[in-house]
Amino acid sequence: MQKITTMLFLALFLFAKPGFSQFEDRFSYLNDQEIQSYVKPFATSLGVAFNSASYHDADIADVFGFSFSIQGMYIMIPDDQLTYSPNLPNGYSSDNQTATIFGNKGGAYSGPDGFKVYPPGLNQTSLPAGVPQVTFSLVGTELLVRYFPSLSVGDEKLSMLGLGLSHEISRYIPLLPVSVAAQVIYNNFEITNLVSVKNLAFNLHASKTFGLFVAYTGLQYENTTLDVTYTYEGTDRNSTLDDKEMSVSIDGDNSFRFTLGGALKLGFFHLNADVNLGAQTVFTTGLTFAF
Amino acid sequence: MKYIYKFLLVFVGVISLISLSGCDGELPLNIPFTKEFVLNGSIPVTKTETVNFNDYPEYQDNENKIKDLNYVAAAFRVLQLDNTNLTANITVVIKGGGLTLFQRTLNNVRPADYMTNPYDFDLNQSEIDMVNTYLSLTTNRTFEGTVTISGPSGTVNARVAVDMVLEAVTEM
Repeated sequence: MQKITTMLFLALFLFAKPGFSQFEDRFSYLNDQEIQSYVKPFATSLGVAFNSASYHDADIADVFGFSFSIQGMYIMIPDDQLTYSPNLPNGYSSDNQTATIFGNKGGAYSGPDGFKVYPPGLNQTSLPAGVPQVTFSLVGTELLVRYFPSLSVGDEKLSMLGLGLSHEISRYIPLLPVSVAAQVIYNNFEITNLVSVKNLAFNLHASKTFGLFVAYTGLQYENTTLDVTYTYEGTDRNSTLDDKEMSVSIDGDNSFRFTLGGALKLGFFHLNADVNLGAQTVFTTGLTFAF
Repeated sequence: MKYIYKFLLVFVGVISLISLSGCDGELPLNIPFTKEFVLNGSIPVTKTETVNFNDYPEYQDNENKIKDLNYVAAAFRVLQLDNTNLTANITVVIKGGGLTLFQRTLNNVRPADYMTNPYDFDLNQSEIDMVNTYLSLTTNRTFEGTVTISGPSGTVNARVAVDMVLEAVTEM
């Protein structure tokens, strides 16, 4: 698994490398406020992805359980997260909005110092993602682990670690017709000295088994913070911050979600799918090997 | 800042089991061009300048990756003017390959007004098509601009600029 993951990392890095120089010059003139607006939908998507697919059954093993799963996600980017109103200098006005990182056309606004232009986006209205995870359960408590091995990306290290803890609370409530569990999840994705994403989520979820089928639902509170450092090279008429290292902390818009889904338990294999309604709608599906 | 994109690409790639579904390997870039014109002397006074795209680092840096160029916006502004009370006619003509792509005449205007509030050319669709067609056909990446100040007798000492933004569609 590590070898496959490492190869995937390397292949993608090599694929991406020729494009880096293109990106280098076109975004460095966004100031700290503009970079927040530009990147915020991406921070939200990261949070939505990392905080998804952490459960599909509230009935946690009484003795011992183990599972390995691959969870896939399909995140829908809403229209209002494709553009934003730029923070223009005095003397400039914006009739039209400009693209966020997921939007399309970058804005061009004329003013006394010439045009102020903004970067385009990736023109994406959806984003696929996937994450592997394992769980260990014991006496109604389940530990969830998501992990990518540390990998060198240029001079930096890329790593991901996610931990979750669930406890079935319905085991203390006799005759309750559904299983109910509470869960806390923490995920950290980091490229050292460059960017760090921290996600924290709390949820209460319930499930009901009908033969091979499990229906499940949940309510979740979550937050995501993306910290990024970059060199601001722009010329802001109201600022003397040119060529300054900037550290920006960007909070995702994701704060609350409702989940509804179903799972099919076929012996050791479980198939699940759910929809999550929140700041960005995300559809997830997973294949789990469990015993 | 490049690291944001490095991170983005790595993230999207690494945790995606599917490649970017809507990404076709193209990335647009807005490139601003500004050409200054110095107009000194007795009215009417005319100045012609050539805008060579290769004089602009942002174009140079991406030249080999540019697949297509499209018009986005253009504006005229006054940078410096000795007589701020002057009222005159201003004509701006932009040509490509000897062909007039668009032109505007501003009659009886105060050039000083355009120091803080640029004039937006706001091209109509046929003019935009003319510019885009020129950009798609020519390998000679230049525009020729002419600015004329006419009207009352007298002298003028001005520095003006024509700004243009082109969208360069580049290969990733």
